Amino acid sequence: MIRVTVDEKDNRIQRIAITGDFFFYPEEVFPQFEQALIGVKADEEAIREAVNLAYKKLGVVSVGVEPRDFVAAIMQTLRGRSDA
Amino acid sequence: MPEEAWRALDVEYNDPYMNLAVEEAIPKKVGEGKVPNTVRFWRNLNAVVIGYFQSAKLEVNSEACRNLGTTISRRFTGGGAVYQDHGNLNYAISIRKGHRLIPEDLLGTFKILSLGAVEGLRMLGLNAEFKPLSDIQINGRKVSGAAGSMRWGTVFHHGSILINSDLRILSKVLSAPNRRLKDKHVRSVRKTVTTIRDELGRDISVDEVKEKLRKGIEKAYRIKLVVGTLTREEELLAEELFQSKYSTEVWNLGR
Repeated sequence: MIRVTVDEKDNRIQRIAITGDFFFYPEEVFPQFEQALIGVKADEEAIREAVNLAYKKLGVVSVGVEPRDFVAAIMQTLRGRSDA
Repeated sequence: MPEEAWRALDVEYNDPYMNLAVEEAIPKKVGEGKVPNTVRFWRNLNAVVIGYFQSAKLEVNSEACRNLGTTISRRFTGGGAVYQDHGNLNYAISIRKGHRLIPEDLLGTFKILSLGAVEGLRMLGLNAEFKPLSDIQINGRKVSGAAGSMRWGTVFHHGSILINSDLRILSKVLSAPNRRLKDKHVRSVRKTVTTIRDELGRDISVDEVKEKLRKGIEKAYRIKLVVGTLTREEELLAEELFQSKYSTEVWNLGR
């Protein structure tokens, strides 16, 4: 399960913490992965692009989760907030 | 061709932080070529061990842990949280990169490095099967979970096998995602998880399970396990990792 805490400001991600029981390699680039989402527009397309780019740039291989799962989890948190 | 020899270690502490520090020291020294490929068997006394990417706050019921004297600790591999007492046996395999056993893909690696334990459990007469991503099931219930990493020139894999752990404590310390779902969660944890004792229908000692795991690992990987000890270098590195990382609040509770 992926859990996301996110703060947005002016429709951009200002702070994000992603946690969960996934396997993500190399482990030590995970903070850079989270960092790559800061400043990104809070919409699905922009987030998908940022996640995919970070995977490529950081050479990420994940097991049990795919880029789209991170996108879905982030979107769910963002939507949950606006619905509330 | 002479049989390939790996080192077998029985190294455990009452302090889960020290156990996890040793867990990191071994693959580092294996990768440096200072020690042979190694299988370590060990237990924790009373601890929750969370995955590298998990949030202690979100995954663990810290109040229950305080009441039960359970230590919350973080390991260096991904995956999910586990509860460990002396009824739970850990095995950790460290193999130098490039070894004949290791396939290209990570899923394949999880499978291969679980098969030694699967073989050992079958030797006990259990219907054990590998279940992706990294579980071992008996009759459809999970008896073991595993996690792995590829770092420091080593392929590392560790698994946690429920022999006769107290599943009621497990349900209490690993918190439910939602309080209202808590009862349901507790029931479902106990339904999907099993122990070797429950599957065999008799008491079994940790030593008996360990012995079969040793044999299963030797058979599955065509190697010979030779009982050894930690080197002084490994001990020093473990002590350093204990101080600087595993015993710190930043590491354990920071995420």
